Amino acid sequence: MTTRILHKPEISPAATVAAFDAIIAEVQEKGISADELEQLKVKWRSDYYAMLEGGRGGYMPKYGLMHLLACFSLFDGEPQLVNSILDGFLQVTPEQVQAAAKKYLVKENRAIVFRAPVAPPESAGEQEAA
Amino acid sequence: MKGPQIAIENKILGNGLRVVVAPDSAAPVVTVGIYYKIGFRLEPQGRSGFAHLFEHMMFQGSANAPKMEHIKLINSSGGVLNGSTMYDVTNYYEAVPSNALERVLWLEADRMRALKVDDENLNNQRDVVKEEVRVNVLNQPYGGFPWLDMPPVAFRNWANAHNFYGDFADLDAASLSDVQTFFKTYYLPNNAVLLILGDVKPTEGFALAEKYFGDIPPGPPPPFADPNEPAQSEERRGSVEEKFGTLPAIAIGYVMPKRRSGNGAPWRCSIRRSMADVPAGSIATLCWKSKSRSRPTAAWTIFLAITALRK
Repeated sequence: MTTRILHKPEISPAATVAAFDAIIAEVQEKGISADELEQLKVKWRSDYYAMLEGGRGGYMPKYGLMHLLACFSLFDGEPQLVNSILDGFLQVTPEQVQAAAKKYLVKENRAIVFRAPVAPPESAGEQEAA
Repeated sequence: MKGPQIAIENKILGNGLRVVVAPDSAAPVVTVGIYYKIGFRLEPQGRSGFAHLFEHMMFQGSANAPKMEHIKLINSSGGVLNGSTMYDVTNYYEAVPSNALERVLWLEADRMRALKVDDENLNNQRDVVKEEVRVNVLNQPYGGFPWLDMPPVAFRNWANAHNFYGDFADLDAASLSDVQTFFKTYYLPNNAVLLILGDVKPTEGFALAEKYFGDIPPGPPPPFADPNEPAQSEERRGSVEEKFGTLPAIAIGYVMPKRRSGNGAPWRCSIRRSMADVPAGSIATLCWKSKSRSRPTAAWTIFLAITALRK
């Protein structure tokens, strides 16, 4: 599960990762509210059906459904899973969210890649304008 | 809450080809897909990028459909097409007006049965792939980030960690015999699934599948990639250079449990796609804007983690 962050150059990468970690830690320690989780489920369910209909920038009708049917056929022999996996998502409880955060979102279970801009060249425009 | 049930029928042909039909006559369009169970993970060491290079070769002509015929027939029918290579699958797909369904199945069956490859096409596509890498990765701001940057930092098993787009030296080393071997090993009806969605009746879909694909001979079941990693005991970090963009970027990746392991989940394929765009945009803002905006983002992250656990 990979998250991508772009940040302002005046903030250090270490401070950025620390800000990310603080949010993860908050969920690990306090969990999330039922209301918050409910809102996420609404969004998840909406995205799921939108994904089935479209995909590939919208130019391929039913790309998402095709993709799930293919994967569930090749890896599970059960394309009908497309009709039931949403139930599992919607049954998630706040306690499970907190437990998953504690178990999996830990430093010894992750990798971080820093993509650092090379120093920008002196403005080429100035030379041309001289 | 019970969601709408999508009509699905599936069967397996005598040669092992799985066929799935999902009828929906709301619009006179059919989407056809063929997925082969072969992706980046299984390309041989010394041949990084080969699975994707091979995908390109599938558009270079087959026994009865000369080069460009496939694209010409789909486009002239008013359809669209493409293919893509992923970790464990490679797909080829078309969407056409439903009266062109049979044409599409004929084309897909012809290249499954008898792909036609030669050195000229291989050299040509090798150059096309290199250009694709130059455009999408080497000369693109944040190109390949993080999908190409994360694996070598996060993983130790070559199958998971290598350059999936391909080192140029490896692409150069690919030979015609590599292409033929790859085709014979993995592009088998018993290593694939055919999907027909949209304006088609299941009986019609299955009959056409049998007509065009039924006599393609199967082969020995191909090996599947071993994705296992040695145990990780500490955080791993790496850095790469950004040549064009001016903002620093960070990718943070957590290893999730194996699908369907214990109480694991069957949705690796779905999550991988959806996850990419959910936290990314909002996390960029979370560190610098109001704290209230940060919570939903964190919850998304965790929610996605827990969904990987449930069956």
